[in-house]
Amino acid sequence: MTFIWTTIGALLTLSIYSFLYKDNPFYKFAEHLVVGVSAGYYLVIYYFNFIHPNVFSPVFLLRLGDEPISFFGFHWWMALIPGVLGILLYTRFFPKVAWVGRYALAVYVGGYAGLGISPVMQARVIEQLRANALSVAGVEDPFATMTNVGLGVVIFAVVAYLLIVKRNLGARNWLGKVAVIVVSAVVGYAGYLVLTLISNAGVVSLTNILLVVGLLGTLTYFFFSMKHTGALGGLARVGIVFLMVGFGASFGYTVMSRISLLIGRVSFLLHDWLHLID
Amino acid sequence: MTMKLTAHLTLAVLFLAAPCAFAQDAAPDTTALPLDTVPPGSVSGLTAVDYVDNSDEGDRIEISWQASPDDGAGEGDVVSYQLWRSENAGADWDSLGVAGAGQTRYLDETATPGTEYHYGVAAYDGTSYSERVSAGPVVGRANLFQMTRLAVLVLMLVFFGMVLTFTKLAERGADLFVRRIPGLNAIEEAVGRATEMGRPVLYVPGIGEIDNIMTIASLTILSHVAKITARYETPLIVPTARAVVMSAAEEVVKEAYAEEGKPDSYNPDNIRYLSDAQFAFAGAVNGIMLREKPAANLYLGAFWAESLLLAETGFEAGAIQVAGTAMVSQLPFFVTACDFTLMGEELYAASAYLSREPKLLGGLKGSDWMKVLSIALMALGVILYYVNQESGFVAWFFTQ
Repeated sequence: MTFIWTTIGALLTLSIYSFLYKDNPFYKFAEHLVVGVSAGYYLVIYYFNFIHPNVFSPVFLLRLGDEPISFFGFHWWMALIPGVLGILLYTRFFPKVAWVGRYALAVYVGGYAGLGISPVMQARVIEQLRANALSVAGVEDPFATMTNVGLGVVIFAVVAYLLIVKRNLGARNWLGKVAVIVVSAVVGYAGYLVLTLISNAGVVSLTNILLVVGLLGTLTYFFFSMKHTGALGGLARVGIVFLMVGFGASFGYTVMSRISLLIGRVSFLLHDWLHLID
Repeated sequence: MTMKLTAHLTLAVLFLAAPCAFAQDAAPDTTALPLDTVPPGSVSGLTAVDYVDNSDEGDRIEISWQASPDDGAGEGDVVSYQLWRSENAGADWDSLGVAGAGQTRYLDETATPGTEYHYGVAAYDGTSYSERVSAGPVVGRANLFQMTRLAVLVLMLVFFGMVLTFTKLAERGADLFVRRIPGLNAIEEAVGRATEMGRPVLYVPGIGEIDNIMTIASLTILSHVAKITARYETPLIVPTARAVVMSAAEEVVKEAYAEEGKPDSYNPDNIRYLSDAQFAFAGAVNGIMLREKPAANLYLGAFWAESLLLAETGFEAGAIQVAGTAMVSQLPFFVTACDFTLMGEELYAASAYLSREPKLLGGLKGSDWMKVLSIALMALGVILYYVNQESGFVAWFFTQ
C-alpha cells in the first residue's frame, strides 16, 4: 500500500517537474489536483486549528464539562465574540447587509495593528538605532584579513564610481570605460587607505563607518518628501548600492536553501520510490 | 579491528576503575578530617520583590541577599544557598531551589500571580545550614505599564503626532510633495504594452491576508491599474490566495471600472480565488501565465517563497514584469527576474502617490520625518557616547 502512495507521489512530482520543459497535460493535471485538494485540506485545517479550539471547544465543551467557568482566564461566552465577528464576514454574500461585515474586518485589522505597533517600534526602530549608534564607537577592525580588504576596495570603488568618476568622465568608448574602472579602483583604494589609517589610529572602526554610511544612504533612498538631486541624490545612490549588495547576498543564501529542497525531492524519487540510493 | 577493540576495552577498564581508585585514595583523608559542626554565618539584607521586565506576567519574584560572612571570607566554606518558599505566612516551607556560592540573587519564575509568598534563604557549608532568614510577604503582579518601554511610547506618540498632523494638512488641501516613484511609470508602460498586443494584464496581489499592510497597499495600486485597463478595455486577471482578499479585489476592480464609465467591461470571472496553499497558488498562476499569455505581469503585495517561481515563469513567457513588495527576503528574486521592482516602502509610497488619500499621504510623510528623527537620534547617540561614556544619562539613552 505504501508503495502505491509513494508511486502516486513520485508521478505527481515528475508531472510538476515536466513544467520545466513546457506546459503539458501532466502538469495541468497535477496543478488542478493540488489546487483542488488544498482547498479542501485548508477547510479542515482552519476548522481544527482555529474554529474548534477557539470557539467550539470553549463554548460547547468547556461549558458543559466539569470546569465550565473559564478558559485561559476568560469566561466561555467571550469566545462567542470572535465567533460572531467571524460569521459577520459572510454578510458580504447578502448585499443589503454587506456593510455589517466591515465592522468585523475593522476589529481584525485594528486589533492586529494595535498589537503589532509596539513590538515593531521596539525591535525595528529603537534596537536598530541603538545598535548602529553603539557600533560607530567600536574599534574592532575586521578588515585585517585579505578577504575583507578586497571587499572594502570593491565597495569603495563602486561608491567612488557612482559619486565621482561616472559624472566627471562620461566615457563613451572602451578606452574611456577602462579609464573609469581604473580611476574608480584608485579612488576606492585611496578611500580605503584613508579610512584604514583612521581605523588604525583607534578612532573608529572601518566596518562601522560602512555600516552607518549604508544605513544613512538606504534611509535617504526611502525618503520620498524631496527630489533625489544633488547631495541627497548621491547619498540615495550609495543607499541603492548597499541594498543591491545585501540583495545579492540574500539571493545566494536563498538559492542554496532552494537547492536543498530539490535535493529532498530527488532523494524522495531515488530513495523512497526507486530505492536506488541508501 | 583487534587493535581498536583492545583500545576500547582498555579505555572502558580505565574509566570504570578510576572512581574506585579515587575512592581508595580519598577514604583515609575523609575519616581523618574532623566534621565541620559550626554552621556558616547567615545571609543578611534579604529582599523579595515583584520582578519587572518587558514580558512581566506577574509570575516572577526576585530574591536577593547579602552573602554569608563565610562565603569567600571567614571560614570560606559556604558551598551553596538553599531557598525556600511559603504560601502560609512563613510556615510550611517548600524547597524552591539552590543558588551557588558567591551568588546573591535568585529569580523565582514559578510564582502564581496574586499569591502572597514568603521566602527563606540559608547558607550551606556541605554539612550544616545557617539560620534561615526570611522575607515577605510579596505578591507577583502583572504590570499594566512597563517603564522599560517608555522610549517606545514616546517615539510612538511622536510618530502618531506627525502622521495626524500631515493627515490633517492633506485633508485641508495642503500640497504635500511626494516624489514620483519610477516604478509607477513602468506599470503604466506595461499595461500599455499589453493593450498594444491585445493580451491581458495579470495582477497578483500577493498571498498575504487582508490584514497585511502590503495587501492593502496592493489593492490601492490595483484600483489605479484597473482604471487604466478599463480605459483601454484590456482584460485584467487577478488571481488571489485568500478568500477575503478576493472579495476586496472584486470590489476595488468593479468600482474602478464604474469610475471609468465602463461597468459593462468588468468581468467578475477574472477575479479568481485559486488556493490558500502557497505552492498550489504558485502552480495555478504559472498555468495562467502560460495558457492565457498575459503581456504584463504585476506582482504587488506580500510574497514568500513563491516569488521566484512566479517571476521566473513570467520571464520565460516573455511578459513585461513589474514587482513590488516589502518582504526583504523576496526582493532579490524580483530584482533579478523582473523589469522593474518597487522596493519596500516604495510600495506604500506608490499607493499614497496614486490615491492622494490624506490618510496614506499622512502616513507616508510621517514615516519620512520619522526617518529624519531616527538619523538625528543616532547622531545624538554617537556624540553622547564620545562625550561621556561614563555618564548615567548616556547609559540611560542606550538602554532605554
